[in-house]
Amino acid sequence: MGNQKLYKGSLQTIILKLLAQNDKMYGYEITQKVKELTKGELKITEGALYPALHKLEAEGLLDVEVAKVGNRLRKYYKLTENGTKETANKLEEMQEFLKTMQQLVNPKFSLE
Amino acid sequence: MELTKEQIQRVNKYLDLKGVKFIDFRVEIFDHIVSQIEQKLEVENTDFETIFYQVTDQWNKQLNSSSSFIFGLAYSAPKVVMNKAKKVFKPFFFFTLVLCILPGILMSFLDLKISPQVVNRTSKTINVIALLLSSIWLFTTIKTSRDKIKTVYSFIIKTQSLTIIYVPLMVLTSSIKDGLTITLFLVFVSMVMLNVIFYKKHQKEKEKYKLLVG
Repeated sequence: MGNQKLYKGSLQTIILKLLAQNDKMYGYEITQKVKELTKGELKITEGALYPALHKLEAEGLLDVEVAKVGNRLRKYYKLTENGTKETANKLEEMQEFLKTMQQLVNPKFSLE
Repeated sequence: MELTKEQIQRVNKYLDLKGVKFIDFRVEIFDHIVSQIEQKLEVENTDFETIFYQVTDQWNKQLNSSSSFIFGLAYSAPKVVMNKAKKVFKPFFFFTLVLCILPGILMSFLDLKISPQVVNRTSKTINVIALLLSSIWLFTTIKTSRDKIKTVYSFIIKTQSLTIIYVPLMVLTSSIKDGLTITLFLVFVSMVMLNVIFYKKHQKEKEKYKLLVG
């Protein structure tokens, strides 16, 4: 819970990764999936989620689809072709970052 | 557990009260809040009222009214909408700011000797272009203000409606002897450009919600 600031810079990568695995998702679903996968360690707030989604959409990495679900409309996000490429790049960057952090924090047990 | 019509109405009223009338936020936030309440009703052994207050309390921070000096303090919108509007508008704001300063600096450095005939001809051309651009500006401004569907882009156009009125008037009544008219003209051109760009974005955004708009 105290690590929320450390996760902040990775929010876009987390969203892209989830969408790469799930075809299309809506806002609330993303927050719940992250909570589930991290066993409650990471809770994405609405104030951080929607600006990130809208930014990715404006950059052409996400496409939206509005569908009627039950008694209301739902906005789904899915990866565009560029989004799929960018996801691979961002994940590679993330791996590099984790490797570097590992070397800094715990040199004896670094990944290499 | 799906919410009843009355419970749905409560959520709608809450969003109305918070001023979330912008379609590009309303649909998404409404769905999020209803999903949150539905899930909590299933998991927790609590009544709708308690859960409704828990969930809306969580959202209040994002939906409370907010304003910014960029648009003028007279214009307010829910914080989440204002944040997006600021992000979208900032590049145009700084571009216009540069246009306000640059011609004056250039004119003072270049110290151009322009003949009265050239001044006269250029003034007339500027006036004609300003008039043409005014009609484009009027069209986009009136069209978006009359539109019942609001988006973050129509909000930005609305915030610019007061400041722009004086620009064509000043362009039409000045000459280009100093940098002022050129500055006003360039600012006016950039504002019309801004209106056209955001008008198109507003239409595009509406298109995504055609299921709702009809």
